Amino acid sequence: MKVTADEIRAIVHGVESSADVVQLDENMNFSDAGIDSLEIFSILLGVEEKFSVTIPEDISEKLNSISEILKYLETAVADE
Amino acid sequence: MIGIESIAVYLPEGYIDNIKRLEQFDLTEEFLKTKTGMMRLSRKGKEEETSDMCCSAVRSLMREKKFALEEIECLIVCTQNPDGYGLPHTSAIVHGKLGLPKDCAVFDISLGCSGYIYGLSVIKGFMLSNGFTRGILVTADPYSKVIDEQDKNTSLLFGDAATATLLSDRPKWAIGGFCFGSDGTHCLSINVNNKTKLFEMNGRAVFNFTATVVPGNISKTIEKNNLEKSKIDLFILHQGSRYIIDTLAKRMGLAPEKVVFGAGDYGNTVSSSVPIILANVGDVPRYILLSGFGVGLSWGSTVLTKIDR
Repeated sequence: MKVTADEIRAIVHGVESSADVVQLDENMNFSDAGIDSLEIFSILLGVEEKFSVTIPEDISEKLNSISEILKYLETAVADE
Repeated sequence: MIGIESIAVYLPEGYIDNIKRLEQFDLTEEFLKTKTGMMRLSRKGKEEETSDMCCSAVRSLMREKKFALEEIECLIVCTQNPDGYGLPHTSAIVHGKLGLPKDCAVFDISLGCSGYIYGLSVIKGFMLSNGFTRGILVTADPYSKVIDEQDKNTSLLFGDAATATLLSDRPKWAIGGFCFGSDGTHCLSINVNNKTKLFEMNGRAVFNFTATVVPGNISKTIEKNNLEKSKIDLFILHQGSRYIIDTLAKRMGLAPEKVVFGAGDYGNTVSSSVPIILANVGDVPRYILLSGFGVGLSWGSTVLTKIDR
């Protein structure tokens, strides 16, 4: 299953962050984009629920951009 | 019928102003207001013990309801930060400090943020099975005893408070059916570290648990009470943070005006967080959903129904 940046971007939009995420570049760090730590929790939960994965604690701390999430999912979904 | 007759709240005079700590934790006022939500955290006095907080809440209840201590047949204290090492139990210390009658049953229950919900079920059942007509459920869990004030994850959240709920055969609120749950496989998500003796919380794990488990528990509780979500006038959820309340409301599709966030001036007071809100709801709501969730992991919900007198 190929996951696209737009699918992740949709999850980010769904979190309704106060940050401007309309044109969020997939390589931009969430924190640099103004997305706060609690909103990142929501994004990661959204990813877990949409793609039926469980993101371990040590991995979650590194998933700070759309591209990092895509890279993770390539491995995680292949392993499922 | 045994139900809730009245609730008294004790908030210590001392407090921490979180606005003054923003620089220390590199946070914005916007984040404090809209996400954690706790602008001030109430703090007990240095010499003030958990039992003292309990007594303050009970005395406030007595002043309000004008009952005599001799009428109280049982008193339960919900705390995980007891006096000393918890032996003797804090409720026994309270018994002595207040001068409760010798035939009054007192004991502690060890629960955190779900404690008020479990406590209501325990005291109601205890009173019904023993033919009691007046009992008091006290919540008092001062996390200031164990908080690491340098920990950004936790030190901006918790406040000290106590509540005393009078249950009687002349209730204002009928207590409905309960739905409970536990998950001990994640018990270390919220704990006091054995080595440091300081409180630790895995924010993401607790967020995930709350967001995924609590909505289902609430729905099941509403159904168990033969109601529909639309009939519930008010949802009083454990005041963990503003963000978790907003997240739960969004995930359950609840109208914002039906979901209370009221802890901004005193903080997450653990098992006191639900009764503090309940004490101030007034006479308008008919059906109130109460939900507590947290350390254990443990969760529970029930529905209160206003009794027309």
